[in-house]
Amino acid sequence: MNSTLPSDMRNTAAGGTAGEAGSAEEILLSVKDIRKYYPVTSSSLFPGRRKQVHAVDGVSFDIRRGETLGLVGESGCGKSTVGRQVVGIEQPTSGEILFEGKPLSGMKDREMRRIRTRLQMIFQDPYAALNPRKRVYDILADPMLYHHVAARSDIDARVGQLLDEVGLPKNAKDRYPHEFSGGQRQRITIARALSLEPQIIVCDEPVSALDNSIQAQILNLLKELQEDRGLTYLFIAHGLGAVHYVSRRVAVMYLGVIVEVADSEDVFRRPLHPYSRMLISAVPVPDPSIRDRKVLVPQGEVPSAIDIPQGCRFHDRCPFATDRCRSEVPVLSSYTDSAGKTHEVACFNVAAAAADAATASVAEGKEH
Amino acid sequence: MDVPLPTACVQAPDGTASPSDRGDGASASSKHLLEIRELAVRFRSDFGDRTVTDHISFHVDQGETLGIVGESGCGKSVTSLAIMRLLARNGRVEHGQVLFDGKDLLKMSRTSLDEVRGRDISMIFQDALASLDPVFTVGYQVTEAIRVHTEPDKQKARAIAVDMLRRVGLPDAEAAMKKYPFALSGGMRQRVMIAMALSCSPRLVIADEATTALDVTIQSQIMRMIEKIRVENNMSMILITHDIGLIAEMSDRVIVMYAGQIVEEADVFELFRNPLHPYTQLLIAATPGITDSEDRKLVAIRGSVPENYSDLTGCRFRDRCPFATEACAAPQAMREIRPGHFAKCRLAGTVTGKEGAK
Repeated sequence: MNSTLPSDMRNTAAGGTAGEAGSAEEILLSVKDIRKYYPVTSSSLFPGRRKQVHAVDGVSFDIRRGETLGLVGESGCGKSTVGRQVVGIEQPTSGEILFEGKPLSGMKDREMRRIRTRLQMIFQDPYAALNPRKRVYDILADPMLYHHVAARSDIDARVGQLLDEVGLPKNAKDRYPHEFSGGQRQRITIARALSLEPQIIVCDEPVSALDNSIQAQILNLLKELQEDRGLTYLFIAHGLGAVHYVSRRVAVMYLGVIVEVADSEDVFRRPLHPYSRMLISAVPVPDPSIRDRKVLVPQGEVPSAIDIPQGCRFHDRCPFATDRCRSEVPVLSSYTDSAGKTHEVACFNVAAAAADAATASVAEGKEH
Repeated sequence: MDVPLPTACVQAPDGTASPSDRGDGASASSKHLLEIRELAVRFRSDFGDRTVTDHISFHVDQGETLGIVGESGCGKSVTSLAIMRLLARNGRVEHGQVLFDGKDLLKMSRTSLDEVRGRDISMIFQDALASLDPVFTVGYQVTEAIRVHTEPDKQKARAIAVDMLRRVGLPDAEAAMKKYPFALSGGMRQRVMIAMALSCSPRLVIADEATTALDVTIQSQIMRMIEKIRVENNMSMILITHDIGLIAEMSDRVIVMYAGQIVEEADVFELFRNPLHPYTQLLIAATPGITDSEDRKLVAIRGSVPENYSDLTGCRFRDRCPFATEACAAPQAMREIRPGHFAKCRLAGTVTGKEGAK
């Protein structure tokens, strides 16, 4: 399904520099120490101290133009909240998000509206994300008209191009969302996101609700679009296989913080943080010949985000935890793995964990 | 055991409600723990009747884990519900036998079925919150199953329940007994359901997407725990999932289902080393793995699973299959291509997924 898109469709609103994917190491989006706390409503007659859910508790990362940053973690780790803050659905309690160097908060309404077209989102459930009473034509045309990205006379042609680009037939525009299968609906939401010529798309679990055979279609489509349009993705998912497939860099989140960031290959082959290792080794591998490998089975469950553990958030599930981990909070710092690659890891005991990993490597040396 | 029930209670989904629990003579030859013969389930709907499983046959041996893999709507869950006679009102078994230990479950009376269900065969569902009763404590629900089937004494049953909850990994089993399902996390609820399912030491447990809703680390814990108990008790298991990774990790033998039919059956090692049906080949080629090399390109299977497949003749995968020819429109037979390795494709053994990717 190679895109046969007219070249004038590409990069029209991409601000000039986006010709080649990742041509420069220019930072497109910068997230600086964002936090999001939600108040917990107390059912008690005598409410005590107001409690808060620390959904995101100090997350920072940069995304370079044209790259894909994968954000992984278990449910409730705050990865979706980060994505929603990036596109402005939710405002951070504190911290800053810079898009092309300009902070999103404190932006004037008109400027914000313009920026919104650059930051788009694809959601997990494509059916819930589409208005059931609108035809696909209107779903795609309305945002373009509202944001004046296309003249009314061009809309027909643009809708046709978008449908073609995401692999839907021309006649799809006259149909309603319920007439499509899950995979096709996700193609519609992708077309809608593309309609505003965005530079960055936040993909929040875009394939989790789809069947295996359809997931590959959508993942390949996202990759092709990235190449054609020089798009930048923040790819949020708990399906690690999909994240590995599309991402160049991966950030692992645990309980509201990032515990490890590195290039995708390095995170999946040589994870350094004990939590990353557990998460990755817990993924079932579709190859029975290695099923008797030693797997690091995590203990316990993720603690509540209301009562965050002291010190390192992972210490009570971590086999390498020391007294220091129980009192002091580790911050991301650079470590080198066995292959000489750099990871940013928030852990005091990377060396101990790495020594153990050397004896029980999970993904090492396995190629398909 | 042979006391006929008041008819109001007899609600056999197959509509026959025959009170014979002895099974029929023909089945005595079955040496498998569970044998499904030519099972056809039909559902009635406003849009017409649909055959959801199309005369499928398979077996499970003692101590074996059979994996059933397929995408949503392929009939894998309906198969498990039909085995347990738990089909919804609009579904019924049109044809076939479900022989457990040589006895046809579909012909059993309700009373003798109740002896088998829960004790000899139990089931773990995907949605634990929907499967647990919200108005009873965890302890009550786990104990109830034990009291009905194995240990009528309340105190002893309670002790067994606590022990079981501990074995499935509930940190404070005594305290958990007093809790209501809503007070537990998703992983903990799933453990409670597994404790209920395993509390009577069943000979066969059916795990239908038992860990699909859970995070991978919790899935890993729970699957390991089930496997440990399964091996200790020499239990058989039917593992139903769409996750081919889980199939590869857990199964002894695998059935691949597509659109209501079994398209391939093989030993797990054989299946992943040498998949024969194009659907299986493409399914494996379409699944991203964390150990893939950087330049791997996923193979997308074109189209999607047909929604109404009961009227399709011939190979049901042919619209999506890169190798399909006109000959595929003719009904396909399940053939044994290699010893113990069956596939329902006339091209099986002559094509590989790598060719299909081009």
